Amino acid sequence: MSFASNPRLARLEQWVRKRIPTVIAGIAFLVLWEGLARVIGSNRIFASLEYTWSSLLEQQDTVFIRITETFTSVVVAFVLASIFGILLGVLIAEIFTFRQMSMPLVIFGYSIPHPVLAPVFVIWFLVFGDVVLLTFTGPSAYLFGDVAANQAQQSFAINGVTTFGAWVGFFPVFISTITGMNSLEERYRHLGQVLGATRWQMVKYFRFYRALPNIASSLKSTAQLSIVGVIVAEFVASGAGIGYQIVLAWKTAELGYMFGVITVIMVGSYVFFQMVVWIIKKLTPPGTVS
Amino acid sequence: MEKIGERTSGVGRITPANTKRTRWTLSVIGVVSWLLLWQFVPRLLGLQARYFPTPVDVYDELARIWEPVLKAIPPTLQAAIVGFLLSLVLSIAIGAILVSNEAILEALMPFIVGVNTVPRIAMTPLIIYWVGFIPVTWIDLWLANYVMALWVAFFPMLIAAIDGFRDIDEDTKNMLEVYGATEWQAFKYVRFKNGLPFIFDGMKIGFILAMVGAVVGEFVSNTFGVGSMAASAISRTSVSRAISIVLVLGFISATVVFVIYVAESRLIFWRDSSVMGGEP
Repeated sequence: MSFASNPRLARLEQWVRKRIPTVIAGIAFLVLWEGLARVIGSNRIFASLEYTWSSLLEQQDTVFIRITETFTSVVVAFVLASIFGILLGVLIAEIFTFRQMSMPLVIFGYSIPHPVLAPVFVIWFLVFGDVVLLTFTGPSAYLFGDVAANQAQQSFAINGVTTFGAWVGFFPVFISTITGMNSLEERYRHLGQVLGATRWQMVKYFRFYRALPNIASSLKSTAQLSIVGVIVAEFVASGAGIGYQIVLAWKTAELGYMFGVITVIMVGSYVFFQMVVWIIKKLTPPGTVS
Repeated sequence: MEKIGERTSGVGRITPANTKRTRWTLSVIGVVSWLLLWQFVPRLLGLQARYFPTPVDVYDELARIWEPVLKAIPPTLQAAIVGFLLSLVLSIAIGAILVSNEAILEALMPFIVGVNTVPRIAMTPLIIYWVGFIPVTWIDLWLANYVMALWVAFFPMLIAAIDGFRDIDEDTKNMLEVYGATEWQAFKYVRFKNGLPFIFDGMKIGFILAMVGAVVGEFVSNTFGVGSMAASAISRTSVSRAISIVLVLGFISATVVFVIYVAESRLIFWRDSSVMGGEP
């Protein structure tokens, strides 16, 4: 390879190569989409690419504001799920009594089909109001001329949508933390004992590190599930985010807009997922996450 | 999940003899103390009963709406079960076909993984919209809940099946080649049995996901069922109603998952089973 002499170019080449199947799948998907649309030949049953694109452009400012709103919620949900999942996981893995006491509740909570809980979260925050962490003017105010700054006002908030998203994303990271903490090999446990590690040092230097690969890979599931949770909560809590926009498109039977919004969500989720993987890779020791 | 006994060797906090009883006792204490906390803490903090119902409040509400709940369960459960069983059959059949043909599998894998990665639940309104187009009189929007259950549960179960069928070591592969086994024989004698633990893990997640699909379908289309009943609690701001529905549904799916787990531990005697089904 001519790139072999330059490590940076070689890495770039490797990066591009790894993306080739994804790109091919994406193109094949678009071709399939357009082909199906041509065969069916009705924008009321299956929107063509062109119709989808024009419907999306017509309402681009709304879509942009709503998608920012949704993914701001997803970020909050993801962070909440990760923090609580790891902290509670460490706590429960470390304290045997606590683990046994909470096991039935954990299994029960895990097997509840989560959407049915969304109304509980929504009602609570409906009654007590949201906890706004940070308000900012969304990028749509700068990108679109006709969007006023107050329309683009967005916030990182703890509300029904984000807490529900966090609940949905919580279980993978929680369970993986427990599993990982408990899979410390016998020889390391002995090493810790020989070195006279305290319980806290044992957790900090041995068991948590043992759990890191499990946590890192489970955070990927958490990233996906937070998005699912946020969108489901938006379905129920009418008015919020991109989830409500899809329901609205269904109610007004605007198929092009519906296709467009769903595509935007899919692309957004892909980007968010890749960002999470990138951040995890940067934060953890090399080789932790594949 | 790790078995508790494995931890005891170095730590010595409990002996294997009383482990099981200790575990059960602790679990019962845990549930009871949780119920007590839930019963008394909201009152001590002076929170409104309307928004922070105690277990007793929830029980009262459940008793009050028991009849309607009993009527609402069958449509939802039926959609979830039909979607789940279809996913199971399809995932095994399609998984088997894909695994027997390496080239097709490699070509389709980016699609399958891609669809599994994106939030499929976002397509709920679209599926309901399409179902509304079916020009058959006896089909109504409720069909969308069945499709949703299938759509949400299928891909994780398919990936579990493919992973299971492919998880064969080099020696077994060589053996199949030496014996000149056909693809069907390889599937019948090796791949299927080998994939069973994976399929069962997929089933535990798959059933919960099928319930998720059915419930979200009802959220959006508002067809009669447990999901639409739970959503209607929002307009009444009735937390106790929402929680009692959650408990009923949680109980149902926990029972089904437990049944799958028991079937698994009977059927797959060569491997330890877990209730949680590996990583969700």
